[in-house]
Amino acid sequence: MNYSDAELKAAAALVRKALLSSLPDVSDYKPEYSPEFIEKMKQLSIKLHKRARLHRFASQVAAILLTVLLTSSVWLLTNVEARAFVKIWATEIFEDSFVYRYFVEGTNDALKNYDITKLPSGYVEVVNERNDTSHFKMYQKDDSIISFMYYKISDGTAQRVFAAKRESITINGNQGDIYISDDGQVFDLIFINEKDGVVFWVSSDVKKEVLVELAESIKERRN
Amino acid sequence: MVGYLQMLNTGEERERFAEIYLTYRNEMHYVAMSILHNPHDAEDAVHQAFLSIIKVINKFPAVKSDEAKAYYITIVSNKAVDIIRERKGIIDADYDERIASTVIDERVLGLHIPVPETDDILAIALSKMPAKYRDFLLLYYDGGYSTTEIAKVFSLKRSTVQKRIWRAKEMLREYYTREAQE
Repeated sequence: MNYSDAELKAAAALVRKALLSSLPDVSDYKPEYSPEFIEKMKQLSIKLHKRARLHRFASQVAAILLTVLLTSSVWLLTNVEARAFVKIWATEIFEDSFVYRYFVEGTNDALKNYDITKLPSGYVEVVNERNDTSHFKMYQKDDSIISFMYYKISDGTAQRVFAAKRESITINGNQGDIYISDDGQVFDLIFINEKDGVVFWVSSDVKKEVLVELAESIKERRN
Repeated sequence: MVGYLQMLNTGEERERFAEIYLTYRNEMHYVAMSILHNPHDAEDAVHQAFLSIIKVINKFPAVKSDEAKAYYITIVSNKAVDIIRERKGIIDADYDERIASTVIDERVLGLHIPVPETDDILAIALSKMPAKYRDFLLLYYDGGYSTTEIAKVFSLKRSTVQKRIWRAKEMLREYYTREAQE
């Protein structure tokens, strides 16, 4: 005998109801979960949290890329002779985030290549995307991620960082900030090379000291 | 970049995960225990089920719904069966067609669903099928899971899932004919 998909769909719904009605009331069933199981489930939750943080970071990167592309293309048309330097950069503080705004005379220098030269062992590159004004890389080791982005500043560029706390920091003589997530597990480090008009952004769940070392190891690649 | 973003989840997913876990863990454990009869293995099945559930965590708009409950239960019962297969060294015939899983009776392996009280012969036939095939039809036709999603949940190739659904439909046709004749 033949049947249609619609008939099968209706039959499947009836079977699902039979399944549910066959389940006993387990409100009094309270198994004693082992510490190993609880720890495994906790790790699963942390994994999701890290992915959520990463998503937020990647969304911010996407927003910056768009802003940089729009502003730089306008600027290139009108300021061919302009010289490079960042005139003003400022941060605004919001309830859940900090926003950087850049006002510059700009530069027509090409974006140089930079690398983190002291990457902790075991991390492998999983993303590497570059355009004329920005470069985004991501490294992964198990559930741990290091995101590294740098971009050319142009007038009107804005960047938002979602974080609860901020501390000032100096990286190789450049002013910057380190941001700490509300659970204290993820750090964002941003510093600005005013001379070259480049913003560096490193984000990870590694220890704060390690993140600072990573930022300090960023070097221009000459090849 | 866009492709990579699509792989990532939103911040709400952690809360959803916690809600699913707190709502269904005991029921899932109960079902796993009824199949495995061992608390350690039952925990293993529940953990495996959650590893799969997070791959399709936004499948159901409401966590507390009949559909969500039925298919989280279905997933954990299948994970429990996988543990039995693994322990007994059984290779699923769908993974390797040269080896049939004759060591164990597939008709009794998995979650028992009573025959629904209905005149719908197709539903009665479906409820009597081996869980291995019945569950894929339920997930696909009632749960709204795509073959890609089922493949993710059970770590199978999409072609394997398609093949099993096709076989299940063929098998259902036989069960349906038999039921109609009785």
